[in-house]
Amino acid sequence: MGRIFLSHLGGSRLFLCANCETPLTNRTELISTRFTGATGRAFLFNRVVNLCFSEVQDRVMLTGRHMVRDVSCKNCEAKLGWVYEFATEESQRYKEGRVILERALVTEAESFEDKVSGGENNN
Amino acid sequence: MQTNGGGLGYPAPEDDFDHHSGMDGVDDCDGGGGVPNGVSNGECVPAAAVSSPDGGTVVETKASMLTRSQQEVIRLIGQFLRNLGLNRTVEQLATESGCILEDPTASQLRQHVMDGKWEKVDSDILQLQSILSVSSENLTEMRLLILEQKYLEMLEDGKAHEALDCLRKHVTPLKPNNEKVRQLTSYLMCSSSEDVRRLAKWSGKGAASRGKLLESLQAFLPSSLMVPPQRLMTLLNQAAQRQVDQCMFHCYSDSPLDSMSLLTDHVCSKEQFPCVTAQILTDSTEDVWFCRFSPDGAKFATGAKDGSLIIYDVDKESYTMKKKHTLAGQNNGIAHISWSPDSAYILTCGPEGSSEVIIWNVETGQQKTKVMQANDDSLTTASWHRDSSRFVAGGTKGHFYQCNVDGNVVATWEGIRVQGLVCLSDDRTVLAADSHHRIRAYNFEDHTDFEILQEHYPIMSFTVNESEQRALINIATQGVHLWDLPSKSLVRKFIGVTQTFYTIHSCFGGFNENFVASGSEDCLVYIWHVKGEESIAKLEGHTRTVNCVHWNPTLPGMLASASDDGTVRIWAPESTLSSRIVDGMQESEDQTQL
Repeated sequence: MGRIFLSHLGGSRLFLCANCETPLTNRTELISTRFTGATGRAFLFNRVVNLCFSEVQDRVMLTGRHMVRDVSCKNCEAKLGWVYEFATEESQRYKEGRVILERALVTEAESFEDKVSGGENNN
Repeated sequence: MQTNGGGLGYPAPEDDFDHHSGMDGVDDCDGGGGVPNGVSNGECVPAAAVSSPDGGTVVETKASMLTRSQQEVIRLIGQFLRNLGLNRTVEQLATESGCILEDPTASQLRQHVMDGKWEKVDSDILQLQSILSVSSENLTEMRLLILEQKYLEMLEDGKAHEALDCLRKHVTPLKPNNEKVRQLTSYLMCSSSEDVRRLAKWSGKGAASRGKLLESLQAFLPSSLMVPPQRLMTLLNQAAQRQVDQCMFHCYSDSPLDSMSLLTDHVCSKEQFPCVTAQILTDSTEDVWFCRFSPDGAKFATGAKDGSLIIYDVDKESYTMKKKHTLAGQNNGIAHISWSPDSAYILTCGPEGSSEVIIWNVETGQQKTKVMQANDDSLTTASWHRDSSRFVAGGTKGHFYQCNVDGNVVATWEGIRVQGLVCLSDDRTVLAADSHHRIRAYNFEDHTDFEILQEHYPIMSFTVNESEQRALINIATQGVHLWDLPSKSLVRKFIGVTQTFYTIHSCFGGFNENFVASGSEDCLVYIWHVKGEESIAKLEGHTRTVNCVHWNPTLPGMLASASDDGTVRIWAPESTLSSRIVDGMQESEDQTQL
């Protein structure tokens, strides 16, 4: 296949795919650490890049019924977690569009502070 | 004799209308009736039917039957014919159509200027001024121009005294600016007329300089009075230019009218345009990720997933390549190839995680040196400076180096995750696309940087055209965008390309860099004209994603595309293939086999 395009969110503390070290997201995108996946602890992130998505599935979780897609690494196709597409309960709406990465399937790494004039990254 | 009707007091024009044309009794100079304020709008005069000398009846157009634009066209034709010297046709035209081709005052002015009767010219102008309300500055300008001509002619004739007189009595009262007076006086010092001509840049007394004077006078007069010089040709050139502009495949550089027939609309066929596969290079066993022609267009390099770098020699006659070297060394695959501007060296970079940039000597095929700063570097893209002695390299882990041709890192820029690099021709500015969807300009010498443009989705790759006015950017999932660099604005988004997963490269190219080509995940090569969003050609042939395209910088008809199907295709105009068959060249068959 061709050279897979991988983008990079930047940030000073990165989360990488445990299998191939493709950068996925960073600490500033972390919303909550109190989630559980198949392998144990899992984190909820706002934006994550370099993912592939599966077909949408209806799952019943501890917090209720959700429509989710499994996510895997774009580079090596290793399973990483899932993304919430739809939450049936109002109180769970905040998860929609956000990604769960299982702690055991990602690695944390230090990186440098981004110098972005004007602050925010776009998109 | 021409009759002078209307009592408007115009002297009968002396040049345009031939007295003895045999059309006596024709009232076309009854022009008074149709020219109320003396300015001819091409208005025509009622004319009666007349018998021509040989007894046939010439039907004359009634003025009222011609619309205004028809009258203007007749005036243009009259001017064109007069310029060619076909004077009798001109009068015939004037008579038959009943149109005055030029206002009597204007033709009088013309005649006086060409005859050099300067006092009469002056009075003509004054007359015109009162009618046309020419502003007094313009009037002064015109008089100065006339006096200058008169003065120069006197000098040429050796009448220095009269020239000086003219200066004193006529020029000075008009209060021209001092520079002008000084200039004019200096001509008095000239010893010969050649000197005068040289200093004043004047072509000498005669029709040429007087004609030029007339043209400059015309600039102050409304065009309804005197048709601007060469007006018909000007209009035709505009039309030809428009046809050329609209021609999507246009490849010629001659001035439009020279190469075009006026009889039909100009449309370039696709014949000069690369549309057919001239050669398929199957030397690679793996996906070919990158391809690039050398700046001199004589060589071509491809880089594949298995790290093999293949260099070819280009045959510009037959639009084919011959393999020169197959080189290995970049173990993770070749993600980027950069030719030095002198076409002597090649830089290769690997994909994410590759810490080495290898410099190859093109002629010998030897590795000249490697750049390897640290093991965990990731250098995925590079670009040479114009002096061919330094280059920049960078990657998404935040490494951004400036190196010299011996492989030493001479400068570093911290904190930028580099996705693409282009060095500008001023040898200092480097454009870099980063992970924040921006392109910024960096100057390693004084460590300054500034923003060029901001996109909203990740930038995969970008390139800049020869004039450095436009940038072509491949945006992940969004397509190909064209930006104007000086104004920092998005000009166009090109439609059609599919890019959702892989890194795709695009390029400027073709005649005058008027075209844009890009690879695509749907196996086609897309080509657009820079001025239009819709593609003008989609080249079929590859069976998998086309990763990279590159246009030969010196040969507008040659385009190369590299694909995941392991082949590189060379595209050429149809005419090269047909000539090949004519010559009985079957070699092309052999070259496609491994």
